[in-house]
Amino acid sequence: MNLERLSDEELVARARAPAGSPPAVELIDELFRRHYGRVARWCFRFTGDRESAADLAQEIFAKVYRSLGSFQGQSKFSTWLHSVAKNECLNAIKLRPIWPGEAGGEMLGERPDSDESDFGFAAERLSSAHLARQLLNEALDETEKTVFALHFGEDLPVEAITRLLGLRNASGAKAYIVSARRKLNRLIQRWKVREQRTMGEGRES
Amino acid sequence: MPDRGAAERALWKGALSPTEGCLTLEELERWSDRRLPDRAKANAHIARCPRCQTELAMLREFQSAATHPAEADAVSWITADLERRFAEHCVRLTLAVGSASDRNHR
Repeated sequence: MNLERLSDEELVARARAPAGSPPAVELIDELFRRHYGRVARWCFRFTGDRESAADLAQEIFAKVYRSLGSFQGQSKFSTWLHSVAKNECLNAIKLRPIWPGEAGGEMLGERPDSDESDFGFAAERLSSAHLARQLLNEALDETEKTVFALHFGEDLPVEAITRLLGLRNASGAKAYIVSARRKLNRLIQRWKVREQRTMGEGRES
Repeated sequence: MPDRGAAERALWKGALSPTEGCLTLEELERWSDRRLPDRAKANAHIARCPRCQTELAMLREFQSAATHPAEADAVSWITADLERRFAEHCVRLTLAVGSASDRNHR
């Protein structure tokens, strides 16, 4: 059988053996071989260190091997693999935030803001997540939004985001977060002025 | 005094959490391949949802075969290591199956 002609999904379907018997090694080998590079690159971007990345990638393929039976074929195999790889990497980074390749797993925005920042005002006013999302959409460009979401939404350190998105500027993701916070702060200032003006008009009338 | 840094993190965390309207990874894949039936509704959601936009960017980054020259050596090394580990696993599996079969024949 020429395995190269089979799609990923066909390989999975054929490799799924009846309960109790191990799946065909040749089929799995062909399937995994097609994705080693992709997972290797992904893990290296998370860890910044090839040994840790290889261990993490092995864990991902072991998990995929064990749960192959749960792949329903409702998406491409590569999409399913992505969800496994993403979850494994995020869990790993939470358990062990600093790999040998990391400078220090830096997280921004942990210290109280300086006096000129209005994020405290925003936190008090933007009780609705919907309004905060609107603020992010209005103020940030696409890359800033992605960096911001990975840092604040997924708790990824800036070094990992820099590698993951292949950012080539000198200070990587950190620069995008600084610029995003500056833009958000400016927009919050405008909202604040607008709110004060509305309140003032309300008092006068 | 309340910790304004923590308040900020909570603010963005809330804004970036999944909502009822967020698309699953499978739906984002179909949207990306123009195979999602209700595309207009998905377009409107994705346009204003930083979370879905990020999921989509991550999915595209993963699916892409592009390796930067700076990471090419490391990726080749990891790939070779994975192939070696898989081969070793297969050898162990073959040996285990072989010895089980020997026991059954005795």
